Amino acid sequence: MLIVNFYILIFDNMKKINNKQFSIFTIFGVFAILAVAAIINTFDFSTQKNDVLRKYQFSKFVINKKEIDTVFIGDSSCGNAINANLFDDKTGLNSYNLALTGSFGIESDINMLKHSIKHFPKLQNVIFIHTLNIWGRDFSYTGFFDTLYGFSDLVYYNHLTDNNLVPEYLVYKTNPKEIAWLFGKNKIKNSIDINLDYNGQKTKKFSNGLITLSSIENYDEFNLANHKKLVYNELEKICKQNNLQCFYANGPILENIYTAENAKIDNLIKKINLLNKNIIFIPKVFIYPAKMIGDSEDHIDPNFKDKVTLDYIDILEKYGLKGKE
Amino acid sequence: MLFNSYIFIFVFLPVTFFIYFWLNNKRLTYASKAWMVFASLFFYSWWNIIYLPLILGSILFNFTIGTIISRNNKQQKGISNKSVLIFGISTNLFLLGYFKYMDFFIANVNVALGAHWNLMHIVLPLGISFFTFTQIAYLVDAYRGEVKEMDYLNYTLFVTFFPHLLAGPILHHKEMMPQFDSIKSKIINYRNISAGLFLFSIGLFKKVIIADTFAKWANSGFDNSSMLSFFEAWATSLSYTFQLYFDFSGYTDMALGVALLFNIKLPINFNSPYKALNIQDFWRRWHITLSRFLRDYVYIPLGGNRNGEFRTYANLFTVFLIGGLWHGASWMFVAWGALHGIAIVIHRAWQQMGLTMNKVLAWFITFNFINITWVFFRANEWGDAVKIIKSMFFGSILIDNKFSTLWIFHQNMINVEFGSLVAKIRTETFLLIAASFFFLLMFKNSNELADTFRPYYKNLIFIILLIAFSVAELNAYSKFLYFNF
Repeated sequence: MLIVNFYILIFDNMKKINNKQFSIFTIFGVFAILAVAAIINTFDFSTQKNDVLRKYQFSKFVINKKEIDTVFIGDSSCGNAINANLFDDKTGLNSYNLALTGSFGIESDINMLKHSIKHFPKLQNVIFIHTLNIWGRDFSYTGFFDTLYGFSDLVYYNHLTDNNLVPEYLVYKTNPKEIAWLFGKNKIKNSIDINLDYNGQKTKKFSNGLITLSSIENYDEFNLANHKKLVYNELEKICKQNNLQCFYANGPILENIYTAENAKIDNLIKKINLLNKNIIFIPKVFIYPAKMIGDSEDHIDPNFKDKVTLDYIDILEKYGLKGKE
Repeated sequence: MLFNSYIFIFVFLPVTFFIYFWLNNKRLTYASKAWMVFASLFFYSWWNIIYLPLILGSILFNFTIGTIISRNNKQQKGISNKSVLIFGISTNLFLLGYFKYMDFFIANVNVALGAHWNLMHIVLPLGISFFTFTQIAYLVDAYRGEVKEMDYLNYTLFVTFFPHLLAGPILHHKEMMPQFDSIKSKIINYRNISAGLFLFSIGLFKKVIIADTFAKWANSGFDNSSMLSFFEAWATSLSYTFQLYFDFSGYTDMALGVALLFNIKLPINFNSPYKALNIQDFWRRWHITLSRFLRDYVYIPLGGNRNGEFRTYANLFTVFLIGGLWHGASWMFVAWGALHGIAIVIHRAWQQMGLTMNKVLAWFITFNFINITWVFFRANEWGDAVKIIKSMFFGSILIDNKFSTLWIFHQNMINVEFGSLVAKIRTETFLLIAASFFFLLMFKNSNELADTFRPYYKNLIFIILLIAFSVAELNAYSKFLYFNF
């Protein structure tokens, strides 16, 4: 009844306005919505899970330990696999794990790398870790813009995609979804588990049997998209220009997926290997059984994070990562 | 440039609008037309500038031919007008044939003769089918003495006016240019602006929110699934049926809305086609300007219904075969056109026999025929179409796990598959299909709404919300389906 009354109050009793007012109010209304969205975006009021994680990782640039010499850049497969403190203890290096999520794409690595170079003057080693299927995904405009290093990059990196980055940036900046995100139900105050130094995991995991492979309807294909080659090329350039020792390692993956898709995965790895110039590419596939996997097929269960970190240290050292005495 | 892009909505359209009316306000009417031509060519070139010379060449050629025909009409001397017209139409068809059908032709020659000619991989210039047909219609109208255009700028404006350039409606010169020349069209008309914004917002919503949502499900069924169940096959075909309608009619609404901002009224292209009670009715409601073109410039010149019943059937069938091939160089379009041709012949025979049918049954048969034939229209290959249609009639029926113990299913009496209905078929697919049926069959269409449009606050809130929702989903990947034709 209340709704009916509300409708009558709003609509039925409203008078007709003239066409000039109607036209002007329409244009004004649309621009007002875009302006509000732009304000929310500019002041970074967003409270979605990815925003919370991004802000957490960016805070590491602000609390900047001057002696940081190693950073891990990647997606959730990296965030869940690498314990930076254990890495420091074992190697004597000083590292941060700056992993975001797969939604940011490899393209945001360009920005994270540039931010790292700016804030960590002693930076020597950069380790990129991404889940295997990230190479076939679409260019993440939101991820790239959310982590943007500087406006000039919109022009400089325009060649990475088929679409012009400047109009895409306008779309991103004035997206009315910002309003829904800010005032909607899915607001998240804090998704970070400080002990994990990353997003906390869900209770349903492969390790406790509450998720099985059959419940994953579709996982992405293991392809290599053209724009990812260009992004990788840019990462290589930055590594070379800044005399950094850069490594690229695949993120961990559930054993059953590798068993089912090994031909496609091996083929993808061969293709990535061909891109290599300045980044040391580690072709190994880090395969783990279901009992070590957490809430997604490429998330290590937190109980095994330290074991997996040691596996990565082992391999990285074999490929030339030098720790300090 | 796409109507459903930021750059069009927030940069191109406002800039074009204000400069056009500013020039008119200063009484620089010729400059305002020149500006509109420039803006339209810019709009066209945004996609790929290398085809700009092609459209300009085509315009110059057809203007020259049209001028010769008009002068001959007046002076009654020189080369026969019929020869000039045939030359003009042939050249247009050659151009269209080269860009649109050359690879198709080579591929078929290779198959038929066992030859190994290399395909040319020619990229189809945007809107070529539309601007070629528009100009063929102009030449024929000039030959019939119905139009005469001696001003190159006016003619270029008629062909390139950006709201109709890429995907129609296919226009007649005589319904466009008098509007541009009218004094009334040179001043800002807020009645037209508010109605135009109303229509544009509906079209944008249809395209961005509805058609693009259906597109995901249709593409998944057509391109990604190897075998579909009964329900999945119907969900796939209905998704495409609605996608195509909302996509193309959404584009047309936007085109009509944008044109109205400039005080130009374009002809409608859709009139609730899925309400049609027979196939002839459908073609009077679907892509109306193409049907009009085919009737006026193919069916009637072939003899129409003037040469006996058999020739009428043959003419009807030929028109639909050509209509199918116009949509693209593929045997699938030919098959689709042939099926519609057969249906229209059967419908005419039915009418000739004086038979009638219950309206609900007539709608049911018509809609399902259209839905099934769209499968041929959408499928990339014959095998894909067969896969969908086979599953629509013989696909396994998905039964929820909780019914798996029932006796009937143990006897293998029905082709069933057990699983979670919710997991296999998206609930939102069926909800959106049901909602689409409801709105398309029970409500007025966008053109009817625009005709009765009044500037109430509720309409204001309605269109601001439509635009806001649509803008939130805008992205650069979603091209209109009819850009491919």
